[in-house]
Amino acid sequence: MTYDSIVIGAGYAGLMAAYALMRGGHKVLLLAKGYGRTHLASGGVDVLGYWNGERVGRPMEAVARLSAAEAGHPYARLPAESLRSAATLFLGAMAEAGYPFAGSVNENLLLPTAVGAARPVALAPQTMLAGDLRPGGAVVILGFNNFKDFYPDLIAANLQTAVTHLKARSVSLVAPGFENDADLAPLKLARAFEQTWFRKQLAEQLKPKLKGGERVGFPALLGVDAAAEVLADLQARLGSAVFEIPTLPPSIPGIRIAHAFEKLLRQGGARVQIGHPVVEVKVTGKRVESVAVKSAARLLHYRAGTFVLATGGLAAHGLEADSHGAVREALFALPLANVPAAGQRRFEPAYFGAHPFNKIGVHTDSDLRPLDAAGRPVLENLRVCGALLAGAEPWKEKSGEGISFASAYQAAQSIVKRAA
Amino acid sequence: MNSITTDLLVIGGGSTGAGIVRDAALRGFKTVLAERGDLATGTTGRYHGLLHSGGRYVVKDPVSAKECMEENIILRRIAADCIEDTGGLFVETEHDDPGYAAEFVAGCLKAGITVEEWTVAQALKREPRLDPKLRRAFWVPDAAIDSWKTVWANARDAERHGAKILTYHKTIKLIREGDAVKGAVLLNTRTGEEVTVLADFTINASGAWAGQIAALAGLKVTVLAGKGIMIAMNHRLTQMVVNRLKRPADGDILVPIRTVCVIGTTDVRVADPDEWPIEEWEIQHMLDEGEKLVPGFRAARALRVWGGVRPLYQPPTLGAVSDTRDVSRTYTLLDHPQTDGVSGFLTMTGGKFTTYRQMAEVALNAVCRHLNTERACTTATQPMPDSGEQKYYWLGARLAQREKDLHGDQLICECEMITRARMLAAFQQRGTDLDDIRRTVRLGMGPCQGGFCIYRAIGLQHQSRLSNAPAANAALVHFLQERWKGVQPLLWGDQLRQARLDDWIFQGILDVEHLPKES
Amino acid sequence: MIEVEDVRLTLDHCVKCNICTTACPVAAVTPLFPGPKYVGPQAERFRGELAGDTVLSPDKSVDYCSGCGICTQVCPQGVKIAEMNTQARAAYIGGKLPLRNQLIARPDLLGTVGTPFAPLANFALSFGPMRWMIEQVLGIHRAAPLPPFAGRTFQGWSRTHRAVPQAKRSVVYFHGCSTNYNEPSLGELTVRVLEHNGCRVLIPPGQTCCGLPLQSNGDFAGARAAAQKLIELFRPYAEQGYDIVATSTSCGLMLKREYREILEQDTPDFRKVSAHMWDICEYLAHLHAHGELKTDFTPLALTVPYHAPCQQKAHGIGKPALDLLALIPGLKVIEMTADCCGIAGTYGLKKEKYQIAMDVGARLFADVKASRPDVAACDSETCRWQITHGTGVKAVHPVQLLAQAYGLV
Repeated sequence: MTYDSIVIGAGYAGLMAAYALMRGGHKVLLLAKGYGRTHLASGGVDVLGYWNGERVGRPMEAVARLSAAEAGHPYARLPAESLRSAATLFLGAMAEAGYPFAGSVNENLLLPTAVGAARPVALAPQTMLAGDLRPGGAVVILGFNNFKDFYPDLIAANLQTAVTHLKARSVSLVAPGFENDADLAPLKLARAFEQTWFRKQLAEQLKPKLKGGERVGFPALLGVDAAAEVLADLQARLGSAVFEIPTLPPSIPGIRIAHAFEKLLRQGGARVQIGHPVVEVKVTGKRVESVAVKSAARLLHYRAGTFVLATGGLAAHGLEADSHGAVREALFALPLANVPAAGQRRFEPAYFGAHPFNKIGVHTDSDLRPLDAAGRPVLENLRVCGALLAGAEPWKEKSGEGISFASAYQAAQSIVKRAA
Repeated sequence: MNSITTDLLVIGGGSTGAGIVRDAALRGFKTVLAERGDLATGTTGRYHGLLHSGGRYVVKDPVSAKECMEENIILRRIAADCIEDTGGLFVETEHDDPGYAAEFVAGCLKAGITVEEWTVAQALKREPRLDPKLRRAFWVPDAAIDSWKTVWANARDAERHGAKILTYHKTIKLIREGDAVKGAVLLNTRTGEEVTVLADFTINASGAWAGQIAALAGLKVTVLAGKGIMIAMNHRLTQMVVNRLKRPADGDILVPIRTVCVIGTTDVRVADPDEWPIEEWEIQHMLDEGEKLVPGFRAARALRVWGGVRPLYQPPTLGAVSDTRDVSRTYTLLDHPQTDGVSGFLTMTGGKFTTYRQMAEVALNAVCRHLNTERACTTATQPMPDSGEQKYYWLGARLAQREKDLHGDQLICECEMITRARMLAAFQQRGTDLDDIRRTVRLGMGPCQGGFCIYRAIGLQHQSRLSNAPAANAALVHFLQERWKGVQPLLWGDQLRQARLDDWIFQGILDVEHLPKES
Repeated sequence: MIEVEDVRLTLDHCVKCNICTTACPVAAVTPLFPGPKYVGPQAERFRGELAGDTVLSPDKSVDYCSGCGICTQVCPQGVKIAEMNTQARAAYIGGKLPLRNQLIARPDLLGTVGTPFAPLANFALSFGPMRWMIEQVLGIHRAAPLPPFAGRTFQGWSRTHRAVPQAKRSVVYFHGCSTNYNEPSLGELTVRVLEHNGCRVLIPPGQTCCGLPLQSNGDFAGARAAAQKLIELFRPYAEQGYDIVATSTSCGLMLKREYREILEQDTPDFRKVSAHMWDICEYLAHLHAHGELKTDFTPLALTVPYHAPCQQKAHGIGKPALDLLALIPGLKVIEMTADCCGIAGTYGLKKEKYQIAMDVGARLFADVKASRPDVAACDSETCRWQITHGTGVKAVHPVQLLAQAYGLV
């Protein structure tokens, strides 16, 4: 089986790379051992939220400053335009899939978190937009007594403190129709939101408790695949603006993104095979010839012209750290940057400290080809993108999706341009 | 200043102190127990969880071995629900001296310890993860015991019989009038208040800190602190306690405790029982030793590492001690009226968890002698309040309980299957300090190490109006830091992936670093 | 050789993300199943206590796991969740299967008994009052899609079938119980398609059940014995280097992997057979990739929704049926995206699970119907019967469409 490109990994980077390659006319195969961080993230798109101890208001400008200051950061090694173009491509894709996003890479929104912090985000689905805290106003946070991953009282209390020109309060209800279930799973509740009867009963119970001019904040469960419709209908029934707040995994908004990409890939003729890991690779000289998937009885080899490695970092299985302290890139044994020397501290005693281990990853050239310590590409037809890249702590600085999308987009562009 | 007058004051809320306060209360003494932290936060709460058969000591420390066997039988009678009857194996690996087995068997027989040789095939059938190259295996009645639960059972029974348990009360002064100790001054570390306790007799049961407490009475008691680390592995690699059949050394015991198994331990002399590091070599050593018992141990997931200090009493007559392993593990009663001419004060130190009850009995017998009263000890036969049915703890209990009603209540902590009702009860019982709660219900002690349940616990606490938002925020951040201590040295493989996911949850999604700081 | 990780040990990989629970088709439709994370890596830490030689399993909710395996496939960490659940169920049942399960887990026994009495048996299976009584007595749901007996066996046909003398290669056909007793014509078409493509087809006589239904119902001893017997039958062929093709994708998976991974039997014989085991579409696509598949298809103007069964996805071979069907001119294949039809082998036959199975399959049924199909295609027999039951649409194995397009029907 021969493809033009094979992408390994189904997280933000893998999905974007496959999509961009498909759009570039490639016959694409995406292989992954399971789903990626989409299902574990907030569901928005971070470009840059915090840097240099400060909250970022204008991400592209901050990215430019960061790139000038931190040569080892993935943003510093990518053309600035890749981030912009990736964002545009993403917005178009989600719109096409019926799950529209809004926002811009030029200006961060400020969205509530499930503990009531105010968190910068660049792009967010329509379902989260009315939660933007910058305009202030009045919000009421709704929780369900039988949904344990959301605490509206705490959220409202903290938001009230965090945002000076905001009035926040909370309301709790038992999810209608689920009175006998004290422990509702997120997916179950999200599917319920897709049912008219549920929204009707919910609105009947909730509307009398609302005050005029309040925006209503739900846990991020507003439907799995029909979120736009759920949002519109709820807003109509309640007569209020509605938004959702991301909470603990599994992330329903993240699942929507994954489903949207899968649908677009399938419709565009790409192949997506999630469920079996790539375990071996065949390299000759500086070229990757094929990768092998561990199928039930044998290794299955897939050949392609180019390969994109988007297997994640230490959070996934892209990088493996063992009990002796050694770290390796799992498939190609690519050279790694930022690995602490033997005897050097790997982690600081303070949980929020700057842990040396966190920035381990692969360095690449501007075409996303992996480099060795001397700065030479190790493999000609391999691109590395996403969390596998060295030099960032995306969960801290709120840059995960931006790095993944920009690097994946740039990787795809470099592949398609070379072929052209 | 508050003042309490009582018959007995017990200093130290570990197993020794808890055992003493129960024995005392059952004997009709009015008793106060003072513990500087939560109960069982010294050595007792940090130890291996092994209810010794004594087999470990039969060759090197036969006195200790005999004590263990006697108390093993008694504890099964009085605290069955704190014990899981796992049984234990002593296994000879290819790394062990084949000559030891004969000494071991002889020692067991001499100490009255039931021992039964199994074939290697039998042992591997029962414990398929053990090294297939094992040479010999012996069964002994080792078991796993929940030290925390046992200590609280003792304390609660004591309270039922009129005792006062004062946790978070640090002893800052012993009241000495001439040659008599008349009691102590305690500092309530939560409120800052001082409490004076006047007692006919004060018993120093502060384990590794016994020397510090004795010094408050002007007495010199040398207790060495032998630090040992332990690593909890994510799931039970064995269902029985497994010991190496060799002279006791590091990392030669693997104990299944509830859902985890614990490998331990090391023995490093430290100067201060409160300040000592967990060192990289110790961790690697535990993994290596674990690998000798269970091939593939290193690749299994290590959940958390912690340490504790053994109290090793050094009598004045003994010279300098080079290896703390050479100090006997038996207990010592320091009868200060007799040996130092100071009345109203006893120190009970050394010993093991397994022998706590006997230590308490001996201490109280001495007290009775000094107070010229005859009150019999009943702790060997009277079960703890919840242990009356004499049913051992079993691993599947929480799972079976949940199966009865999958939807009636929420699981706040899914890893350890702690329901919302249980959490609320714990808040009632223990207040809002999440460290106390964690010890009570094992919140956050499963594989996700709080990744999911801490948010829920904080939210629940706040929702139940038990804390305000700033307190909830602080508790969340505090828990993350506390948990990090035990997890940080083990960050590789699966546990690193978990920690990274937890970072994504707390920092990436919840952004706890940027919670409002002040109300 | 593929390295297989010990199933229970994989629970260490679980980071509690619940991605599996969101993908589980059973947890989505019934409160009786708390989800794969719960009954898998979470509950497994609470199991393992021994009572003598038996491992105790305190939880009966694990029996509601259908074994579809979607959880294992979506898990980003490599936890073998469905496999763990299957093992836990066996521990829970402790080898004591109720009569109903003992019967439905032995399709070769049922087939042997039912074939000579096919007309009577088939009547009973379709006669309402009879089905009602069977439901009362045995607990097989009265509406569950039990397939009729063919009244003859594929083995019988194969005895009279003369293998082609000249061939590029020889291949062994593992027909499975359903082809033997219920759908021998599928076997015949499969042989013809293979012969059309230059294969001499060897059909070892005496093929009995692979043991998969026994495994799914918790009788591991029975499953091991059954599978071992079949493995011994195929071993000499594997030793001679012949490939073995299976038209029942679930049975093929059993001899590819589950015997070792779930039943924990890692024998040299198994390794030999496993290394030569192929799903039929996988094999034909493999021929095509080497330019050895005849593409002399006549156009078929049919709209065909294709559903890849859960067990087919578990092979990890992609969806070769789609590649093959794409070669047939005029054929409009619509890939179904719903995960599971619900039947899960014998699961959906059971009175207490039938409705769960129908609820699981509801989305697939709706999608099949909405595609305005001429015929549906699916690689597993039990799924085909369930799809037909839920939609009224005829369902065939993709090989049957190939045969039709080759003009071999």
